[in-house]
Amino acid sequence: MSGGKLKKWRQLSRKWNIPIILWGLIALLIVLGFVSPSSVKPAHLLDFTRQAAPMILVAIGQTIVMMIGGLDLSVAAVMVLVDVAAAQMMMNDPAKALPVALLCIALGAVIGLVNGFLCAVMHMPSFVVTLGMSTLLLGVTLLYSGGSPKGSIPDNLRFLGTGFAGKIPMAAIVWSVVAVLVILIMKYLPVGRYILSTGVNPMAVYQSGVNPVRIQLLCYVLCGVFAALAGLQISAYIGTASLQLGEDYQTRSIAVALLGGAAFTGGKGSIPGTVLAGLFMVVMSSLVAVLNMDAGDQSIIQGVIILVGLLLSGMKRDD
Amino acid sequence: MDLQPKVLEAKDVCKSFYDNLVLDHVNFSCTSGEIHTLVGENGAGKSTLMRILSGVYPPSAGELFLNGRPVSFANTLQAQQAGVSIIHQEFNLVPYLSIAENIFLGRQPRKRGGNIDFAAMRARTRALSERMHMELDPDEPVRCLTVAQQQMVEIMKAIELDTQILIMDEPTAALTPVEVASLFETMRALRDAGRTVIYISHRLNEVFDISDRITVLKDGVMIATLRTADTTKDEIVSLMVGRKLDNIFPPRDQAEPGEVRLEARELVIAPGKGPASFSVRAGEILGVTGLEGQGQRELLRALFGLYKLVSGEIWVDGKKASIRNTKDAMALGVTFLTDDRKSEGLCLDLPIYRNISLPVFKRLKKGLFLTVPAEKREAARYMELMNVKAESAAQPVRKLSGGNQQKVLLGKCLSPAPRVLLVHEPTRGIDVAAKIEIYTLLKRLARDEQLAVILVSSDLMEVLNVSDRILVVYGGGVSGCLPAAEATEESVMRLATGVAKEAVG
Repeated sequence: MSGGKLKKWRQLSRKWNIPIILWGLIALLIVLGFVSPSSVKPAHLLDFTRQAAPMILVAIGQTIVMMIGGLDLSVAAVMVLVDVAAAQMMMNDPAKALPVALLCIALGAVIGLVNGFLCAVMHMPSFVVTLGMSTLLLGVTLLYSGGSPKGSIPDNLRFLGTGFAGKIPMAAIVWSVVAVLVILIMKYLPVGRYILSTGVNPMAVYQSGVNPVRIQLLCYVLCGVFAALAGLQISAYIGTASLQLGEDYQTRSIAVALLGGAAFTGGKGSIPGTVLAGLFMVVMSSLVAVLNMDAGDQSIIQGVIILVGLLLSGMKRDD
Repeated sequence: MDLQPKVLEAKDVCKSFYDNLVLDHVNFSCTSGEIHTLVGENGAGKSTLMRILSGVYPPSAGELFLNGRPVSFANTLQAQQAGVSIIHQEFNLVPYLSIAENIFLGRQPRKRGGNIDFAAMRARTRALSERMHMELDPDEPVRCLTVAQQQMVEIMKAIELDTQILIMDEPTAALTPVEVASLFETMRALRDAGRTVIYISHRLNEVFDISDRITVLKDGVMIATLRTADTTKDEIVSLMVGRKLDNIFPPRDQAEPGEVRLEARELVIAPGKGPASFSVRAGEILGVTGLEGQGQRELLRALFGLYKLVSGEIWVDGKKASIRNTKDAMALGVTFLTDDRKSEGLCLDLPIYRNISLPVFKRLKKGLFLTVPAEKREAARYMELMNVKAESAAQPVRKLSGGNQQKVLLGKCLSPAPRVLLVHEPTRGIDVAAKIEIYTLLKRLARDEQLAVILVSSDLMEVLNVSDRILVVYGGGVSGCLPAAEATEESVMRLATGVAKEAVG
């Protein structure tokens, strides 16, 4: 592509505030269409929106924490713990689905609160705090499950992971509702503005009469809640407990947030960008899968695509 | 004509960024053994000219001559090798390395076999610091030094490079008066050794103290180069802005202060200090000054809940107030303009409107929702009041000049409609035109809106000319309070140095 055209696209993106990753997503879909025409049929496209549900949910939380300059390395551990806890406590009993799900969300919130307390109030680096929390939660999960998790998820909750409303997967409806709510909060509620401003300069927020520590606490709590939601979404899809599920989501949630426009320095991030980046990841996995390569090649291709995506979304921030 | 040969000369230098012409056919030259000051408002092109002279970027048109020969520097390294060094406001030092390691960074003396000769490095550093009458331990890490000492390390680094022409961009901005005096001594020593110092400053008193010649830039055009002995401050200021020094400050008028808005009773900032008691009335500007570090900063910040007092009471509107944090202060109608707008006051990467609306989200929202148009309307009011020059309200504050950033910050302090405004160094590092606007506005707010203003500043002229009463702080306490009409530089300095102590008024 010529430099001039690229520039024009970037200007257009900025004018309409379109996350750059949208172009990446479209490009990937076009490539996928050439490689495997059957993969871009509507039914398959809708399936992408289902597959992306846990990633989008967890990455929204990660984006919020990254907006204030933090990082949450415990999201995957929360997802696994929630998955195991949900299956063991629900024991396939539909009546228990709602209370246990709420309990799981509360658990995520409490974990987020502890992370937030240590990072925002005690001024410990989020990298170390959440890494420690991750290890701790892994231990708790192993103890709790005795190493082999039991139980399963009742059908009413599974419907949210596997069911359809007409042709639309329920999972896509779940993340869409959540994403729209978060976008509205970020855009139209003062608290959303405070989050971004706190990321840019907490002292300036404090001198405006608002305590930035509370905002930071809130962000960690929200991240915990979204990780729990992502864990429930996975449970709802697979129906049983597994100790290995979350791993992929840890580093990738950070990559997705970055692809969506967040930065390690804080003060940046876009929920629509993160949603699109979540879809980008799923389409990329699918593309690599249809190429039918061995594991090493797959990994290389994925790495290259992620790096190119980051390069593109980073360009917007330069000027 | 100058009698001495020109060591560095810029002829018809132009520089434009994108389509903005920043320098317009500037001619500038300096001779060896002189201290040459460059003055001009922010945005006049001083820093751009200096960066061209030191190889940071090339001129768009025009030529540079070094010792009469045309030169072009591809980068700062080439300029350094040719003997031209620049010391930026932000130093290029590695905090965790020692003084000696910083000075010889990248060109450490080697022993046979290639090992670094630390002994030689230390010895040369020690010799350098002795030459500059400094007592610096070569092994001391740079992070442990004061700003002034770090600056000395930068100068030593430049001398070690055998720099003939040293360019210093506002070197005194962060220094105390004592440190400034010692910096000037060093600058004079360099001059007397036949080197050239090019010095950029906003502080006219210092400029007249130190320079041999002064060059005035305005809007990218070189206005004049004058011998310091042949000119006056008035002339320089009128060249810079086209108006006289007297006109910088609003005309003195008689305050008609109303009721006491804020009263500080026996404030103690640290055990054994103070106590300080003072009050400010509606419609009055209380100027507070003192030598650096006498507690004026802590006292002011305590009034906004940013500093924890040992003891003392703050009364607002005749009621005892409990100000534990900024929220408490703002609930009482107190707002605060910090002296560090970049790190404490503004969200530099956010648009202007967001910075101004930040303290008043609650007022601006309709129901639960806050919309960007509401924020922009609010911002537009203050941008007009403050005469902020920007492309639009959506422009990030980072892209504005210092003066305009300061105006945005003042807008942020005014949007909550304060009853007491605390301002700390409101005109530090901004151009004269913006200063005039801020002074006029502060005066108008006090007189017309009956705002109570406390102005803490180390700029004595500012305090003398803008305030109604002047409070002098010494050792955390109040050493005197004078009506501004009767105060002089001398009487304030006597109180500030603790020579005299007057009854607190």
